[in-house]
Amino acid sequence: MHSITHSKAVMLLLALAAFSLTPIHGLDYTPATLTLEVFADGTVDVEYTFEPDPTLATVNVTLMGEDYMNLLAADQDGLLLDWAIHPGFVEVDSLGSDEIKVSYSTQSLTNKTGSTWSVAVDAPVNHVLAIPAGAVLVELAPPPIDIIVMDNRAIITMPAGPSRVSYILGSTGTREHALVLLSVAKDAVDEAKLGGVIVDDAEAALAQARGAYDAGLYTQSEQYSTEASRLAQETMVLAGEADDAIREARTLMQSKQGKISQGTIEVASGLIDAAEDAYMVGEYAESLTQAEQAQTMLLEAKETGGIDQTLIIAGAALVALVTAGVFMLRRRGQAREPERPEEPPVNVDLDTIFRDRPHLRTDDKAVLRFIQGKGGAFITEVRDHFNIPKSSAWRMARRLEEEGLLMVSTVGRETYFQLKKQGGQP
Amino acid sequence: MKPGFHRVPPGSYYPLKRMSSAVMKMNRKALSLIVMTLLATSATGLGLVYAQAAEPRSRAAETLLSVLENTNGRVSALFDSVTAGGGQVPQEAQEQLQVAVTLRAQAQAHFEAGEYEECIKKSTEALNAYGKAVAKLHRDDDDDEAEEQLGLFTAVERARAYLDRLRSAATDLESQGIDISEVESLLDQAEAALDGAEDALNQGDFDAAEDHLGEARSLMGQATRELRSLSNTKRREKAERFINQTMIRIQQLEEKMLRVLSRYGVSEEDTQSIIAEFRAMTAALEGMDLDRDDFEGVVGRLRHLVKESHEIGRGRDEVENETVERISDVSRLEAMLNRYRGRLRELEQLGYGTGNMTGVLAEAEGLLSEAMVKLEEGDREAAEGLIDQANEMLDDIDDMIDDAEDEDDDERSRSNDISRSDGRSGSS
Repeated sequence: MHSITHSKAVMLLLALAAFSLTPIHGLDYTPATLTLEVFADGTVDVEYTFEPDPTLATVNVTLMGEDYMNLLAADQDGLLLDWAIHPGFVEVDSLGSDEIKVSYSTQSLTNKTGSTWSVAVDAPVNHVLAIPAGAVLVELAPPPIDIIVMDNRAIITMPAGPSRVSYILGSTGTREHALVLLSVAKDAVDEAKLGGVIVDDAEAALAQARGAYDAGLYTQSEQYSTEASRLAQETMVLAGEADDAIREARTLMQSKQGKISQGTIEVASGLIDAAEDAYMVGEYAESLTQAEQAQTMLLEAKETGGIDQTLIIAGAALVALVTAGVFMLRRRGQAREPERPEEPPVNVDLDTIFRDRPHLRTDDKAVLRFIQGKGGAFITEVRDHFNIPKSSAWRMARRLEEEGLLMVSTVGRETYFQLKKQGGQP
Repeated sequence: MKPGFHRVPPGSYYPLKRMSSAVMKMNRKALSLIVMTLLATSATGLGLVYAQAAEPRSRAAETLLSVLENTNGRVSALFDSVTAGGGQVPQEAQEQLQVAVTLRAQAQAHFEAGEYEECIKKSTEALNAYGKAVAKLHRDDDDDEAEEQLGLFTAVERARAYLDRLRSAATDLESQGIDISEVESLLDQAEAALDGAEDALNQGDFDAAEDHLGEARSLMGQATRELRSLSNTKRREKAERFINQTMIRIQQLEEKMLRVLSRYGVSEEDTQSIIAEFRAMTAALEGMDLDRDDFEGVVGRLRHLVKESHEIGRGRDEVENETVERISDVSRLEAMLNRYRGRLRELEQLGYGTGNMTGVLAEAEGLLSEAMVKLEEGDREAAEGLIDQANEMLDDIDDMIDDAEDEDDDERSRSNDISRSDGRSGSS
C-alpha cells in the first residue's frame, strides 16, 4: 500500500501554505494557480486553474487581459467545456466540475515603450511569470516572492495583486536575427540584379554574411548582411542617377545639334559613350561623372562658337577622353557592325507570352516585337530604333533574360539579341 | 542539463530546435513542477514561518543578484552604444544609472551579511532604477522589417505550445475510452506543417513559413472543433450526473430550509409555497431529457434553475436573507464534501492510505451539521464560524487530494518510463 511519505508531507505543507485560499466573496469559484508565459512578440500564454462552486451549472470567470486567443477550458478529467465570452468575464459550462483549467493567449497584458517591454497584471493569486529567453530584467514591482533562471529565461513568482515586470529584449547577435538580415540583404541584391544593376560588392558581402552565418558567427553575419543591403541599395541609387544623367546628356546633345560646334558635339558624344561603357561594367560613379561632364560641356558651349573656341573645347575633351581610358578605346573598335548570324529566327508566340505575363513592361514588349520582326537584333539597332542609351538597353536585356525570353550573345564585338524558344511553343 | 529540459541553442533567441511531442510534454511537466515548487516556496512571501524558509530566500536573493549583473552589463552596453554612435547620454539617464549601480552594491552587501530579505528589496530597487535609466535614454533600436519577420519565429513557437495543449486534451479523452484517431491525424498534420514552417524559417523563406503556419493553424482549428465534438458525449454523461446531484441537493436543501423555517414561525401558507417551489424545481429537473432536448438549452435551463434555487426562501419577513444564504452555504459545502468523498474513494482504490483525509472530512461534515443546528437555534453568528471552519478544512482536503493525485501521476509516469526502458532492453 502506498502512503504519503514524510518528505512528501513537507512538500504538501509547503503547497498548502501557498494553495490554501479562501473563496473570494462574490465569486462562483476559488482561484488556485496562475501562470503567465511571455513570448518575444509580447503575446502571453495564460493558464488559470480554479475550483468552481460544485452546485453551479455555469461559472462566470474574470480572466486577465482583454483579448483571448486559442481559449480552451477543460475540467479535471481533461474534458473540454463550452464557454462564452461576455464583457468583463467568460462564462464556462462547469456542470459541477471539481477543477477547471482555462488556457488562452492574449496580447493585451504587455506593452512596449522604446526598447522596454512591460507585463502588468492584477492577479487574484500568487502567480508565476516566465519572461522570454534572453530578456534582460529592468523592473520588478513589487519585490518577487521567488525567482529562478533556467535556460537563459527568468521565471518569477510574484505575489497576488497588481504587479509589473519590465525587460529589454535584444535580438541582435541571435541566429534568427542574422537569418532575417540575410534574407533582407538577399532581397535587396536580387532586386538590384533584376533591374539590371551590377552589385558585385553587395554580392560579395552577402556571400561573406552567408559564410559567417554557417560558421555560427551571427553578429558578424549581421554586419555583412547589413553591408550587403546598404551596398545594393546605394548601387541601385547610383545606377539610377547615372542612367538618368546619360539619358539627359544624350537628349541635350540632340537638342544642341547644329547649334554648337560639331567638335563639341563629338567630344560630348565620346564622353556619353564612355559613360555608357562604364555603366555596362558596373562603374556607376565613373559613368555618372562622364555623363555629367558631357552635360556641363554641352550646357557651357556657346551656340555661336568660332574655330578657336572649338579647339579649346576639343583640348578639354581630350583630357576627359584620357580619363575615360580603356572604355573609349574599346568603344572605338566597335564601330563596324558585324555580320548577322545565319541561324533561322525562332518562332515565338509573343501574344501568348504577353497574355501570360501581364507584368511585362510596355517598352520591353515593344523591343521583343522589334527583335522578332528582325529575326534578331544588335544592341545598337535596338538603341537606335528606340532612342535609348546603352545602359537602358542593357537593363532591358537583363530583365528579359531573367524572364527567359531573350538570348544574349556576342557576335563579333557587338551584343546580339535573339528571342528564346519557349517550352510548349512550336 | 536535466532530461526533459530544452536548452536554447547557443546564440539563439528562441528555442527553435525541433522537439518531439513527448519532449514537449516533458517540458510542460517540468514547467509545472517549477510552478509548484515556486508557489510552494512562496509561503515566506505570505509571512509564514517554517524551517526551510532561509534557503529559498537566499537562493532568490542570489538569483536576483545574478540577474542584476546581467542587467547591468546589458544597460551599460546600451549606454556605450549611444556614445559609440556619436550620441550623447542624457544627464538624467546617467544619474539614474549611477543610482542603480549604488543600489546594486548595497544589495550585494546585504547578501554578504546574510540579510536576504533586504538584499531582495534592494535588488528590486536597483532593477527599477536600471529600468528608469533605460527609459531616460529614449532610444528605440527596433528594425520594423526585422521585427515583423522575427515575429514569425515566435508565432511558430506559440503554435507548438497550442498544439501541445491540444495533444494533451486528446490524450485525456483517449484515457476515457474515446477514439481520437481523427484528431491525432489532424494534429500530426499540423505538426508536420509546423516543421515545414520551421524549416522554411531556417532557410530564410519567410513567405513559405507563413504559408505553412497558416496551414498548421487551420488544422489545429479543425482539431479543436473535433475535440469539442468528441467531448460532447462525455459532457452529456456529466450533465446527467449533474442533474441527479442537483436533484438530491435540492431535496436536501428543501429539508434544511423547512427545518429552519419551522423554528422561525413561517406561516403554513408560506411554507407550502416554498415546498411548491422546490417541487416545481425537482419536476423541471426530472423533465430534462438530454436525448431529446438541445444540450445547450438544457445547460441554460440548469443554470437558471440553480440560480432560482438560491433564491427560494428569501424575501420573507420572518427570516433574514443572511440565514437563507447560510443554509445555501451549508448545502454548497456538503456538495463539495461529497465530491471529495468520491475522489478519496478513487485514491483508496489506487492503494493510498487516506485515513487522515477521511478523518478531516468527517470532522468538516460534523461542523456543517452543527452549523445547521445553530441556524435552527437562531444563532447565525455561531453557525457562520462553523461554516468558515468547515470551508477551510475542505480547502485543506482539496490540496491534500491534489498532491496525492499528482504523486500518483508521477508514479505512473515513472513506471511507464521503466517499462518502456525494460521493453527496449528486451528488444535489443
